[in-house]
Amino acid sequence: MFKVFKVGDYLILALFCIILIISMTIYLNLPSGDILKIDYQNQTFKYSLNQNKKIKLGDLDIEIKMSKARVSHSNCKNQYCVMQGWISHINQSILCVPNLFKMTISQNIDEHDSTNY
Amino acid sequence: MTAQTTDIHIIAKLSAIAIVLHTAEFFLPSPIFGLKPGIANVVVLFAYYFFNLSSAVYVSLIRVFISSLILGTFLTPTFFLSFSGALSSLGCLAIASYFLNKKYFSIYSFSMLMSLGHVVGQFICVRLFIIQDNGVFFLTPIFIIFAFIFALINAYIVDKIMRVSKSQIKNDKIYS
Repeated sequence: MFKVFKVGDYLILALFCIILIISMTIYLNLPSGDILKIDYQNQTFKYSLNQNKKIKLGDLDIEIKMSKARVSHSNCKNQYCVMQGWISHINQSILCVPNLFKMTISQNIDEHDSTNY
Repeated sequence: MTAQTTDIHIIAKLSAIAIVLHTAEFFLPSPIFGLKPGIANVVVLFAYYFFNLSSAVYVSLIRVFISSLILGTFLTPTFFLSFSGALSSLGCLAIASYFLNKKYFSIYSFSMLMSLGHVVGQFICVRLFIIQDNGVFFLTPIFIIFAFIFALINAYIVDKIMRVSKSQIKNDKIYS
């Protein structure tokens, strides 16, 4: 296959590799956030991720540890929120619909609304 | 008049082949939704290399519309995905054919640019209309790797076909 390559083909190949590396570096090394935002039954809470803490909200247990967060226990049927495991990157989130619960990781600065932006 | 009829014949035959390939490919299992080899682009590249850009555009667009009618996905998100991919890959092909000299750039670079355009167009369409979240861009590296591999394979196939049938097609006429 490489015998029939002409000069320009290597250029395009290099362009392809550069685009691949750029997309890899941007989207596989997302910056980790430092604020945990929790929406629970029309209430909003904010916690710093730089602490070790266990939070109890109704039937939900939330755990913050080493700038990661997870739902460690829930009473819902499918347990999807527990199975999500740890989250640490910006815009990662965990939902628990039966408990009207959502938690998202964000950064300290104001960000664009991801739906409108 | 005769020139036009022969053009129509060629476009019809090539798009028939493309529709068959596209429809067969639809039923292949794929690990990620939407990850397909795009073997029908062989026909588009062939049309571009043997005839001209406009016949490639015709073949590609006819392929998208007719195969979506056959598969029953016309005007569904699947159709819009493949339509946007086809449009952007044709745009890439048009830009490439305008700027790139065939002396230095072989079929491989055209194929790679087309597949890259396909991925980019589809991602823009998905981001704008279907999944309105930046999370879809997590999949870009995977899609770009596979686009690259399948582009090389498709270009290799077209290269083989050209080597085998260059004289045959020129003399023997698939025009009929």
